[in-house]
Amino acid sequence: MCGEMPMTISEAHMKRLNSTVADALKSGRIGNPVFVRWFERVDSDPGDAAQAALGIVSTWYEGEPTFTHAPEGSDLQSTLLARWSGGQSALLIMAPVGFMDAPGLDLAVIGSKGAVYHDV
Amino acid sequence: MADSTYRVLLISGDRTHQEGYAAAFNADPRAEIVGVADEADVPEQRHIWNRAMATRYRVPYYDNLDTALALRDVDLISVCPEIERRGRVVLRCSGRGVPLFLDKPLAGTAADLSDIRDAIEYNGVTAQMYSFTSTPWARAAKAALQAGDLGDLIAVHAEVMFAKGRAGTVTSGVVREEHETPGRYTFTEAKRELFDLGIYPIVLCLWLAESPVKQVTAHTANYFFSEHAEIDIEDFGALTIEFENGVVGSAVGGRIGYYSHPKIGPHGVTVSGTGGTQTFSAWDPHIEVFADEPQAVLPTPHPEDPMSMWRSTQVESGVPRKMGWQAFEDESGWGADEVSSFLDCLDEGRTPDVGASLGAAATEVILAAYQSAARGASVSL
Repeated sequence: MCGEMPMTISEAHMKRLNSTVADALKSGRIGNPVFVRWFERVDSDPGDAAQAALGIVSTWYEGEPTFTHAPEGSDLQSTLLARWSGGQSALLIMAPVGFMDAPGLDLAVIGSKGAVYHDV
Repeated sequence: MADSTYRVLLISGDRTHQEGYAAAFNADPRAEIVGVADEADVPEQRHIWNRAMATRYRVPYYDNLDTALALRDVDLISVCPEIERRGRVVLRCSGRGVPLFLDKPLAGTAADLSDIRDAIEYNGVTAQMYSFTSTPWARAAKAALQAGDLGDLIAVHAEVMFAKGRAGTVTSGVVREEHETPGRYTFTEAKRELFDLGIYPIVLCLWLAESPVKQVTAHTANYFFSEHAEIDIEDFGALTIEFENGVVGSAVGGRIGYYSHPKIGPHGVTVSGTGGTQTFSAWDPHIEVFADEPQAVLPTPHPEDPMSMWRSTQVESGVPRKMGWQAFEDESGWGADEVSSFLDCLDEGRTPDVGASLGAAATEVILAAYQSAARGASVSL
């Protein structure tokens, strides 16, 4: 089973995830997307990863955030609180991968009447 | 006290969190509920709900707090008045000199928090504010940090979202304008959710980070429920917490609707250290069960509790338990675990994890979060 685990979240996976979530949002099943909690274990620069995640979330919210705050802290992590003009928000957290661990993503997209979850 | 029974006086009864606390004390063989009491001048409906609890536990109801606090045979007080009365009631109870089990959050104003903290310290009373630090997942996170497996702590994230109530009723496009100072806290139809639920993840962040808070940056919203929007209180909040020791915290609290999660909502904590990251979810490990059986359907909301805030009204309206996910750890024991941990502390002479000091500090973070959300900027503590 360990041999089947991805050693990183591939660009292809992120692309498919982006489009699959976008399709789910367009279907209206969860109402309006209002909050995204993106928790990713990364083995790359956490600041860059946070910006990449912010780019994806911005496509779901169909616009750029009007407010962002990234607390100062260890360079091994990056935490970003963001807000959009329509009141939507996101909390994006990039955390270090451990020695015996693998990159991964725990995503929650909360809508006004439902939610999308993804954990890999 | 380990060889005898704690005689417990309950302050305020039904339609408060006391419903859960009383059940937990009643179930613990080390405790005996001996009475329910409250201030004399509360509304008659409050007296009626208090009497209902007293009747259920077959104990006297004292409609005068002074009379109840003068009783000799009281070893512990569980204090659960409405937020607006909490400051003065906890102060009076602390003067009785017996251990206090305190509802969360501790109070609604900075002045009340300061008074409570000072009074409990002055009277030398052992106190514990209800939180989630006794849950198996929180304890596992603490143990992982203490074991040093993750190196030095650099970040902690905690979230407690309740999948309760019928979401999707708020008018689309409502952008909340927060107020720097919350006014009223107690309503029949809803509660401030950053306040009421956000306290759980914030306590966990403070408990795990073990540091004073330097700065808070927050966002509040009306995402889900018309009930909240119509009385101008938030149903959701997210914040970052910067600690003086350099740890970065983040917390999410809110009520997201019954159908938005296969259990009672995302509950968990993730700790990141210089050596890696580990997540502790209330629901992992779990099994997923799919069967030819009726799916859980949210019944017509209870007219006096549409948000499913209270145990009694959930039972009355028949809110079903969702059965798709079955976690290894059953959440139904969390309340009892918290009461049990308090009694353990009393038996063993230990200081509770979340005493008045940490409880007040966490509540101060919430008050700062309201300021931050109102200003659209970070707030230093």
